[in-house]
Amino acid sequence: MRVMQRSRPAVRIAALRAVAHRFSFGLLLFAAVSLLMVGKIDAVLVDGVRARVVDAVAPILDAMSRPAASVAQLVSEFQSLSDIRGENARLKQELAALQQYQDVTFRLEAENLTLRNLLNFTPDSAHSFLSARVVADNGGAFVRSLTINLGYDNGVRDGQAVLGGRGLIGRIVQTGEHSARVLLITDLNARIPVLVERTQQRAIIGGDNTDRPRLLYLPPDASIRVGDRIVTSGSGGMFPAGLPIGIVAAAQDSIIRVQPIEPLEAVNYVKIVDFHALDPGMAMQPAPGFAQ
Amino acid sequence: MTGDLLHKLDLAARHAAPGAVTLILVLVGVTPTHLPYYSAIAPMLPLASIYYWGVHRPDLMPMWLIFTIGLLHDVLTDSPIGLHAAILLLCQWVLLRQRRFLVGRPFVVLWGGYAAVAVGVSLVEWVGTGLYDLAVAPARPVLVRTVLTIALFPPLAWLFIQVHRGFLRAGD
Repeated sequence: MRVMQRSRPAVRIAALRAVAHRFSFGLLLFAAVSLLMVGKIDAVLVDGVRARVVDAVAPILDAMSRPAASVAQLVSEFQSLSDIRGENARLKQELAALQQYQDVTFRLEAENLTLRNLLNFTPDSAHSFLSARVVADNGGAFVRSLTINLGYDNGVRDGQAVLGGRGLIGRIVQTGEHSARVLLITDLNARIPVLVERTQQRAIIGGDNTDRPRLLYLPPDASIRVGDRIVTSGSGGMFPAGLPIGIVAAAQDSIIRVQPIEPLEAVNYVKIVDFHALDPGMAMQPAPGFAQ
Repeated sequence: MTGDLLHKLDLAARHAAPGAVTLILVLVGVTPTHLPYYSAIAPMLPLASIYYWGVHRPDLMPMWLIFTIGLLHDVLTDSPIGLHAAILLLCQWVLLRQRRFLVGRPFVVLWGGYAAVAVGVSLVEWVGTGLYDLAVAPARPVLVRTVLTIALFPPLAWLFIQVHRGFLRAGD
Protein backbone atom coordinates (compact mmCIF):
# COMPACT_ATOMS: atom_id res chain seq x y z
CA MET A 1 0.00 0.00 0.00
CA ARG A 2 2.73 2.38 1.01
CA VAL A 3 4.64 1.64 -2.14
CA MET A 4 1.60 2.51 -4.21
CA GLN A 5 1.24 5.90 -2.47
CA ARG A 6 4.80 6.88 -3.07
CA SER A 7 5.15 5.68 -6.58
CA ARG A 8 3.14 8.38 -8.37
CA PRO A 9 4.94 11.48 -7.07
CA ALA A 10 8.19 9.58 -7.43
CA VAL A 11 7.48 8.98 -11.10
CA ARG A 12 6.57 12.62 -11.57
CA ILE A 13 9.74 13.78 -9.86
CA ALA A 14 11.75 11.38 -11.97
CA ALA A 15 10.12 12.75 -15.12
CA LEU A 16 10.84 16.33 -14.05
CA ARG A 17 14.39 15.38 -13.31
CA ALA A 18 14.79 13.82 -16.73
CA VAL A 19 13.54 17.03 -18.38
CA ALA A 20 15.83 19.19 -16.24
CA HIS A 21 18.69 16.87 -17.00
CA ARG A 22 18.03 16.97 -20.73
CA PHE A 23 18.05 20.74 -20.84
CA SER A 24 20.67 21.39 -18.16
CA PHE A 25 23.50 20.40 -20.48
CA GLY A 26 22.42 22.78 -23.23
CA LEU A 27 21.65 25.64 -20.85
CA LEU A 28 24.88 25.30 -18.92
CA LEU A 29 26.93 25.02 -22.10
CA PHE A 30 25.21 28.16 -23.35
CA ALA A 31 26.02 29.86 -20.02
CA ALA A 32 29.68 28.84 -20.28
CA VAL A 33 30.02 30.16 -23.83
CA SER A 34 28.21 33.37 -22.83
CA LEU A 35 30.64 33.83 -19.94
CA LEU A 36 33.53 33.44 -22.39
CA MET A 37 32.05 36.20 -24.54
CA VAL A 38 31.37 38.46 -21.55
CA GLY A 39 34.98 37.94 -20.43
CA LYS A 40 36.21 39.01 -23.84
CA ILE A 41 33.95 42.08 -23.98
CA ASP A 42 34.08 43.28 -20.37
CA ALA A 43 37.36 42.05 -18.93
CA VAL A 44 37.15 44.46 -15.97
CA LEU A 45 33.86 42.99 -14.75
CA VAL A 46 35.10 39.41 -15.05
CA ASP A 47 38.40 40.28 -13.35
CA GLY A 48 36.45 41.77 -10.44
CA VAL A 49 34.45 38.57 -10.02
CA ARG A 50 37.60 36.49 -10.39
CA ALA A 51 39.32 38.53 -7.67
CA ARG A 52 36.39 37.94 -5.28
CA VAL A 53 36.39 34.20 -5.85
CA VAL A 54 40.16 33.97 -5.40
CA ASP A 55 39.76 36.06 -2.23
CA ALA A 56 37.28 33.54 -0.87
CA VAL A 57 39.48 30.55 -1.72
CA ALA A 58 42.78 32.20 -0.72
CA PRO A 59 42.73 30.98 2.93
CA ILE A 60 42.34 27.38 1.72
CA LEU A 61 45.09 27.82 -0.86
CA ASP A 62 47.26 29.39 1.82
CA ALA A 63 46.79 26.40 4.12
CA MET A 64 47.37 23.91 1.30
CA SER A 65 50.53 25.58 0.06
CA ARG A 66 52.25 25.39 3.45
CA PRO A 67 52.99 21.63 3.57
CA ALA A 68 54.37 21.75 0.01
CA ALA A 69 56.56 24.70 0.94
CA SER A 70 57.81 22.89 4.07
CA VAL A 71 58.71 19.78 2.09
CA ALA A 72 60.52 21.88 -0.53
CA GLN A 73 62.43 23.67 2.25
CA LEU A 74 63.37 20.39 3.91
CA VAL A 75 64.67 18.98 0.63
CA SER A 76 66.74 22.08 -0.09
CA GLU A 77 68.13 22.03 3.46
CA PHE A 78 69.27 18.44 3.04
CA GLN A 79 70.81 19.32 -0.29
CA SER A 80 72.75 22.22 1.22
CA LEU A 81 73.85 20.07 4.18
CA SER A 82 75.36 17.47 1.89
CA ASP A 83 77.47 20.08 0.16
CA ILE A 84 78.32 22.31 3.08
CA ARG A 85 82.11 22.23 2.65
CA GLY A 86 82.07 22.99 -1.05
CA GLU A 87 79.53 25.73 -0.46
CA ASN A 88 81.71 27.30 2.23
CA ALA A 89 84.73 27.40 -0.07
CA ARG A 90 82.66 28.88 -2.86
CA LEU A 91 81.17 31.53 -0.56
CA LYS A 92 84.63 32.55 0.67
CA GLN A 93 85.76 33.06 -2.90
CA GLU A 94 82.62 34.98 -3.70
CA LEU A 95 83.06 37.14 -0.61
CA ALA A 96 86.56 38.11 -1.65
CA ALA A 97 85.30 39.13 -5.08
CA LEU A 98 82.35 41.03 -3.61
CA GLN A 99 84.59 42.97 -1.21
CA GLN A 100 86.41 44.36 -4.22
CA TYR A 101 83.07 45.30 -5.75
CA GLN A 102 82.07 46.95 -2.50
CA ASP A 103 85.09 49.26 -2.66
CA VAL A 104 84.18 50.18 -6.21
CA THR A 105 80.54 50.72 -5.22
CA PHE A 106 81.43 53.08 -2.38
CA ARG A 107 83.66 55.10 -4.69
CA LEU A 108 80.98 55.24 -7.41
CA GLU A 109 78.26 56.15 -4.93
CA ALA A 110 80.29 59.07 -3.63
CA GLU A 111 81.06 60.18 -7.18
CA ASN A 112 77.41 59.79 -8.17
CA LEU A 113 76.26 61.88 -5.24
CA THR A 114 78.71 64.64 -6.07
CA LEU A 115 77.64 64.67 -9.72
CA ARG A 116 73.95 64.65 -8.82
CA ASN A 117 74.49 67.59 -6.52
CA LEU A 118 76.30 69.38 -9.33
CA LEU A 119 73.40 68.75 -11.73
CA ASN A 120 70.74 69.54 -9.14
CA PHE A 121 69.21 66.12 -9.98
CA THR A 122 65.83 65.14 -8.52
CA PRO A 123 65.87 61.48 -7.59
CA ASP A 124 62.96 59.10 -8.10
CA SER A 125 60.56 59.22 -5.21
CA ALA A 126 61.37 56.78 -2.47
CA HIS A 127 59.59 53.46 -2.70
CA SER A 128 58.67 50.98 -0.04
CA PHE A 129 58.24 47.21 -0.17
CA LEU A 130 55.58 44.76 0.89
CA SER A 131 56.46 41.11 1.38
CA ALA A 132 53.96 38.45 0.39
CA ARG A 133 53.80 34.67 0.24
CA VAL A 134 52.98 32.76 -2.93
CA VAL A 135 49.86 30.69 -2.20
CA ALA A 136 49.05 29.37 -5.65
CA ASP A 137 50.87 28.75 -8.87
CA ASN A 138 48.10 29.37 -11.40
CA GLY A 139 50.40 28.74 -14.29
CA GLY A 140 50.04 26.06 -16.88
CA ALA A 141 50.85 25.58 -20.48
CA PHE A 142 48.69 28.59 -21.34
CA VAL A 143 49.21 31.15 -18.56
CA ARG A 144 52.08 32.12 -16.27
CA SER A 145 50.88 33.70 -13.06
CA LEU A 146 50.97 33.40 -9.27
CA THR A 147 48.53 34.23 -6.48
CA ILE A 148 49.87 35.98 -3.38
CA ASN A 149 48.36 36.37 0.07
CA LEU A 150 48.22 40.19 0.20
CA GLY A 151 45.60 42.37 -1.46
CA TYR A 152 44.04 45.82 -1.60
CA ASP A 153 43.65 45.98 2.18
CA ASN A 154 47.41 45.55 2.54
CA GLY A 155 48.23 48.29 0.04
CA VAL A 156 48.68 46.18 -3.09
CA ARG A 157 47.50 47.94 -6.25
CA ASP A 158 47.22 46.94 -9.90
CA GLY A 159 50.35 47.61 -11.91
CA GLN A 160 52.86 47.42 -9.07
CA ALA A 161 56.17 45.70 -9.76
CA VAL A 162 56.80 42.35 -8.09
CA LEU A 163 60.32 41.24 -7.19
CA GLY A 164 61.75 37.92 -6.17
CA GLY A 165 64.92 37.82 -4.12
CA ARG A 166 67.10 39.06 -6.97
CA GLY A 167 65.06 40.66 -9.68
CA LEU A 168 61.74 41.54 -11.26
CA ILE A 169 59.40 38.59 -11.75
CA GLY A 170 56.20 40.31 -12.88
CA ARG A 171 53.51 42.79 -12.00
CA ILE A 172 50.18 42.87 -10.19
CA VAL A 173 47.28 42.51 -12.62
CA GLN A 174 44.35 41.85 -10.31
CA THR A 175 43.76 42.72 -6.67
CA GLY A 176 41.22 41.29 -4.29
CA GLU A 177 40.90 42.35 -0.69
CA HIS A 178 43.28 39.74 0.69
CA SER A 179 44.83 38.28 -2.43
CA ALA A 180 46.35 39.43 -5.68
CA ARG A 181 47.43 37.93 -8.95
CA VAL A 182 50.93 38.38 -10.36
CA LEU A 183 51.40 38.12 -14.12
CA LEU A 184 54.90 36.73 -14.63
CA ILE A 185 57.28 38.25 -17.19
CA THR A 186 57.17 34.95 -19.10
CA ASP A 187 53.40 35.13 -19.73
CA LEU A 188 52.12 35.54 -23.26
CA ASN A 189 50.50 38.87 -22.36
CA ALA A 190 53.35 40.41 -20.35
CA ARG A 191 55.03 43.50 -21.86
CA ILE A 192 57.49 45.57 -19.80
CA PRO A 193 59.62 48.52 -20.97
CA VAL A 194 63.29 47.72 -20.40
CA LEU A 195 66.79 49.00 -21.00
CA VAL A 196 69.89 47.13 -22.13
CA GLU A 197 72.24 48.24 -19.40
CA ARG A 198 75.46 48.24 -21.44
CA THR A 199 74.17 50.24 -24.40
CA GLN A 200 71.25 52.11 -22.76
CA GLN A 201 69.13 50.83 -25.67
CA ARG A 202 65.41 50.88 -24.92
CA ALA A 203 63.23 47.88 -25.71
CA ILE A 204 60.21 45.91 -24.50
CA ILE A 205 60.49 42.52 -22.88
CA GLY A 206 57.64 40.28 -23.95
CA GLY A 207 56.81 36.79 -22.73
CA ASP A 208 55.60 33.97 -24.95
CA ASN A 209 54.90 31.30 -22.30
CA THR A 210 58.40 29.87 -22.69
CA ASP A 211 60.93 30.13 -19.87
CA ARG A 212 62.89 32.82 -21.69
CA PRO A 213 60.99 35.97 -22.69
CA ARG A 214 61.95 37.84 -25.86
CA LEU A 215 63.37 41.31 -26.33
CA LEU A 216 61.09 43.19 -28.73
CA TYR A 217 61.14 46.45 -30.70
CA LEU A 218 64.90 46.78 -31.01
CA PRO A 219 66.26 48.70 -33.99
CA PRO A 220 68.01 46.48 -36.55
CA ASP A 221 71.40 48.02 -35.77
CA ALA A 222 71.19 47.48 -32.00
CA SER A 223 74.23 45.59 -30.78
CA ILE A 224 73.12 43.05 -28.24
CA ARG A 225 75.54 40.50 -26.83
CA VAL A 226 74.95 37.36 -24.88
CA GLY A 227 75.45 38.29 -21.23
CA ASP A 228 74.05 41.83 -21.46
CA ARG A 229 72.02 42.75 -18.39
CA ILE A 230 68.39 43.81 -18.91
CA VAL A 231 66.81 46.19 -16.38
CA THR A 232 63.51 48.08 -16.19
CA SER A 233 63.62 51.44 -17.94
CA GLY A 234 60.94 53.11 -15.86
CA SER A 235 59.17 54.30 -19.04
CA GLY A 236 55.47 54.66 -18.46
CA GLY A 237 55.96 55.53 -14.80
CA MET A 238 54.65 52.20 -13.52
CA PHE A 239 57.94 50.75 -12.35
CA PRO A 240 61.03 52.24 -10.79
CA ALA A 241 63.93 52.31 -13.25
CA GLY A 242 66.86 49.95 -12.90
CA LEU A 243 65.23 46.83 -11.44
CA PRO A 244 67.22 43.85 -12.75
CA ILE A 245 65.19 41.44 -14.91
CA GLY A 246 67.56 39.09 -16.66
CA ILE A 247 70.55 38.41 -18.82
CA VAL A 248 70.59 37.99 -22.59
CA ALA A 249 70.95 34.25 -23.09
CA ALA A 250 70.66 33.92 -26.86
CA ALA A 251 70.91 36.48 -29.65
CA GLN A 252 70.37 34.81 -32.99
CA ASP A 253 69.24 36.88 -35.96
CA SER A 254 66.41 39.06 -34.72
CA ILE A 255 65.30 36.78 -31.89
CA ILE A 256 66.84 37.78 -28.61
CA ARG A 257 65.96 35.74 -25.54
CA VAL A 258 66.44 36.80 -21.94
CA GLN A 259 67.12 34.41 -19.09
CA PRO A 260 65.28 35.78 -16.02
CA ILE A 261 67.60 36.44 -13.07
CA GLU A 262 65.04 34.94 -10.74
CA PRO A 263 64.24 31.23 -11.13
CA LEU A 264 60.50 31.77 -11.58
CA GLU A 265 59.46 28.24 -10.71
CA ALA A 266 60.95 28.36 -7.23
CA VAL A 267 59.56 31.65 -5.97
CA ASN A 268 58.24 31.28 -2.44
CA TYR A 269 58.09 34.86 -1.24
CA VAL A 270 57.86 38.04 -3.26
CA LYS A 271 58.39 41.76 -2.68
CA ILE A 272 55.89 44.24 -4.06
CA VAL A 273 57.26 47.67 -4.88
CA ASP A 274 55.05 50.54 -3.79
CA PHE A 275 56.25 53.15 -6.22
CA HIS A 276 54.94 56.52 -7.30
CA ALA A 277 56.69 58.36 -10.09
CA LEU A 278 57.24 62.01 -9.22
CA ASP A 279 55.68 63.25 -12.43
CA PRO A 280 53.88 60.58 -14.41
CA GLY A 281 53.29 63.10 -17.21
CA MET A 282 57.01 63.39 -17.80
CA ALA A 283 57.54 59.66 -17.73
CA MET A 284 54.79 59.04 -20.27
CA GLN A 285 56.56 61.09 -22.93
CA PRO A 286 58.54 59.00 -25.40
CA ALA A 287 62.17 59.14 -24.52
CA PRO A 288 64.70 60.04 -27.23
CA GLY A 289 66.18 56.99 -28.90
CA PHE A 290 63.18 54.79 -28.24
CA ALA A 291 62.74 52.60 -31.26
CA GLN A 292 59.38 52.52 -33.06
CA MET B 1 12.20 9.15 12.30
CA THR B 2 15.56 10.43 13.62
CA GLY B 3 17.19 7.33 12.23
CA ASP B 4 15.67 8.09 8.84
CA LEU B 5 17.03 11.65 8.89
CA LEU B 6 20.47 10.49 9.97
CA HIS B 7 20.43 7.92 7.23
CA LYS B 8 19.52 10.58 4.68
CA LEU B 9 22.29 12.88 5.94
CA ASP B 10 24.75 10.04 5.82
CA LEU B 11 23.72 9.20 2.28
CA ALA B 12 23.96 12.84 1.18
CA ALA B 13 27.47 13.09 2.62
CA ARG B 14 28.49 9.89 0.87
CA HIS B 15 26.99 11.08 -2.39
CA ALA B 16 28.96 14.33 -2.14
CA ALA B 17 32.26 12.41 -2.18
CA PRO B 18 32.86 12.44 -5.98
CA GLY B 19 32.23 16.19 -6.21
CA ALA B 20 34.38 16.87 -3.15
CA VAL B 21 37.27 14.81 -4.51
CA THR B 22 37.10 16.72 -7.80
CA LEU B 23 37.06 20.10 -6.04
CA ILE B 24 40.05 19.10 -3.92
CA LEU B 25 41.93 18.11 -7.07
CA VAL B 26 41.23 21.55 -8.57
CA LEU B 27 42.81 23.13 -5.48
CA VAL B 28 45.75 20.68 -5.41
CA GLY B 29 46.35 21.51 -9.08
CA VAL B 30 47.25 25.12 -8.27
CA THR B 31 49.27 24.47 -5.11
CA PRO B 32 52.88 25.58 -5.71
CA THR B 33 55.10 22.50 -5.96
CA HIS B 34 58.46 24.30 -6.12
CA LEU B 35 59.55 21.80 -8.76
CA PRO B 36 61.57 23.30 -11.59
CA TYR B 37 59.62 23.67 -14.87
CA TYR B 38 56.60 21.94 -13.31
CA SER B 39 54.19 24.84 -13.54
CA ALA B 40 54.48 25.01 -17.34
CA ILE B 41 53.40 21.38 -17.69
CA ALA B 42 51.13 21.03 -14.65
CA PRO B 43 48.67 18.23 -15.47
CA MET B 44 44.92 18.77 -15.38
CA LEU B 45 44.09 16.73 -12.28
CA PRO B 46 40.29 17.23 -12.07
CA LEU B 47 39.84 15.72 -15.54
CA ALA B 48 40.68 12.25 -14.20
CA SER B 49 38.01 12.64 -11.53
CA ILE B 50 35.38 13.89 -14.00
CA TYR B 51 36.18 10.90 -16.21
CA TYR B 52 36.16 8.25 -13.48
CA TRP B 53 32.87 9.36 -11.94
CA GLY B 54 31.40 10.09 -15.35
CA VAL B 55 31.93 6.45 -16.22
CA HIS B 56 31.05 4.84 -12.89
CA ARG B 57 28.60 7.14 -11.10
CA PRO B 58 27.34 9.81 -13.51
CA ASP B 59 24.27 10.23 -11.27
CA LEU B 60 26.54 11.79 -8.62
CA MET B 61 28.09 14.28 -11.06
CA PRO B 62 25.17 16.41 -12.24
CA MET B 63 25.82 18.94 -14.98
CA TRP B 64 25.51 21.94 -12.63
CA LEU B 65 28.27 20.50 -10.42
CA ILE B 66 30.53 19.97 -13.41
CA PHE B 67 29.79 23.52 -14.56
CA THR B 68 30.72 24.89 -11.11
CA ILE B 69 33.92 22.84 -10.96
CA GLY B 70 34.88 24.06 -14.44
CA LEU B 71 34.29 27.69 -13.44
CA LEU B 72 36.41 27.33 -10.29
CA HIS B 73 39.14 25.73 -12.38
CA ASP B 74 38.99 28.66 -14.82
CA VAL B 75 39.15 31.23 -12.03
CA LEU B 76 42.09 29.59 -10.27
CA THR B 77 44.15 28.74 -13.34
CA ASP B 78 43.54 32.12 -15.00
CA SER B 79 41.98 30.49 -18.02
CA PRO B 80 39.30 32.41 -19.89
CA ILE B 81 36.23 32.14 -17.62
CA GLY B 82 33.86 29.54 -19.02
CA LEU B 83 36.40 27.65 -21.12
CA HIS B 84 36.89 24.68 -18.81
CA ALA B 85 33.26 24.80 -17.74
CA ALA B 86 32.36 24.22 -21.40
CA ILE B 87 35.12 21.62 -21.89
CA LEU B 88 34.13 19.58 -18.84
CA LEU B 89 30.44 19.74 -19.76
CA LEU B 90 31.28 18.42 -23.22
CA CYS B 91 33.39 15.67 -21.62
CA GLN B 92 30.48 14.59 -19.47
CA TRP B 93 28.15 14.70 -22.46
CA VAL B 94 30.47 12.42 -24.42
CA LEU B 95 30.97 10.12 -21.41
CA LEU B 96 27.23 9.72 -20.84
CA ARG B 97 26.99 8.39 -24.38
CA GLN B 98 30.07 6.18 -24.29
CA ARG B 99 30.13 4.93 -20.72
CA ARG B 100 28.42 1.61 -21.43
CA PHE B 101 31.44 0.67 -23.56
CA LEU B 102 33.73 1.45 -20.62
CA VAL B 103 31.94 0.11 -17.54
CA GLY B 104 33.27 -3.24 -16.38
CA ARG B 105 36.05 -3.39 -18.97
CA PRO B 106 39.72 -4.01 -18.06
CA PHE B 107 41.61 -1.06 -16.61
CA VAL B 108 43.70 -0.63 -19.77
CA VAL B 109 40.54 0.07 -21.79
CA LEU B 110 39.44 2.63 -19.22
CA TRP B 111 42.87 4.23 -19.38
CA GLY B 112 42.77 4.26 -23.18
CA GLY B 113 39.42 6.01 -23.10
CA TYR B 114 40.86 8.56 -20.69
CA ALA B 115 43.83 9.16 -22.99
CA ALA B 116 41.46 9.89 -25.87
CA VAL B 117 39.47 12.31 -23.70
CA ALA B 118 42.65 14.03 -22.46
CA VAL B 119 43.98 14.51 -25.99
CA GLY B 120 40.63 15.95 -27.07
CA VAL B 121 40.53 18.29 -24.07
CA SER B 122 44.08 19.55 -24.71
CA LEU B 123 43.24 20.22 -28.33
CA VAL B 124 40.11 22.19 -27.43
CA GLU B 125 42.07 24.06 -24.73
CA TRP B 126 44.82 24.94 -27.16
CA VAL B 127 42.48 26.15 -29.88
CA GLY B 128 40.18 27.87 -27.36
CA THR B 129 42.97 29.80 -25.62
CA GLY B 130 44.52 30.63 -28.98
CA LEU B 131 41.27 32.12 -30.26
CA TYR B 132 40.64 33.94 -26.99
CA ASP B 133 44.11 35.51 -26.71
CA LEU B 134 44.64 35.72 -30.48
CA ALA B 135 48.03 34.15 -29.95
CA VAL B 136 49.55 30.72 -30.39
CA ALA B 137 50.72 29.05 -27.18
CA PRO B 138 53.88 26.93 -27.66
CA ALA B 139 52.80 23.39 -28.46
CA ARG B 140 55.51 21.45 -26.62
CA PRO B 141 54.47 22.25 -23.02
CA VAL B 142 50.87 21.44 -24.01
CA LEU B 143 52.04 18.09 -25.37
CA VAL B 144 54.05 17.26 -22.25
CA ARG B 145 51.13 18.35 -20.08
CA THR B 146 48.80 16.03 -21.98
CA VAL B 147 51.19 13.08 -21.58
CA LEU B 148 51.56 13.86 -17.87
CA THR B 149 47.78 14.14 -17.47
CA ILE B 150 47.39 10.69 -19.05
CA ALA B 151 50.29 9.17 -17.09
CA LEU B 152 48.85 10.29 -13.76
CA PHE B 153 45.56 8.49 -14.35
CA PRO B 154 46.45 5.13 -12.69
CA PRO B 155 47.41 6.59 -9.26
CA LEU B 156 44.43 8.93 -9.33
CA ALA B 157 42.14 6.09 -10.40
CA TRP B 158 43.43 4.07 -7.44
CA LEU B 159 42.42 6.97 -5.19
CA PHE B 160 38.96 7.15 -6.78
CA ILE B 161 38.50 3.39 -6.40
CA GLN B 162 39.29 3.72 -2.68
CA VAL B 163 36.73 6.53 -2.36
CA HIS B 164 34.26 4.51 -4.41
CA ARG B 165 34.63 1.43 -2.21
CA GLY B 166 34.86 3.34 1.05
CA PHE B 167 31.99 5.77 0.62
CA LEU B 168 29.62 4.42 -1.96
CA ARG B 169 27.94 1.07 -1.88
CA ALA B 170 26.25 -0.50 -4.83
CA GLY B 171 22.58 0.45 -4.96
CA ASP B 172 22.99 3.58 -2.83
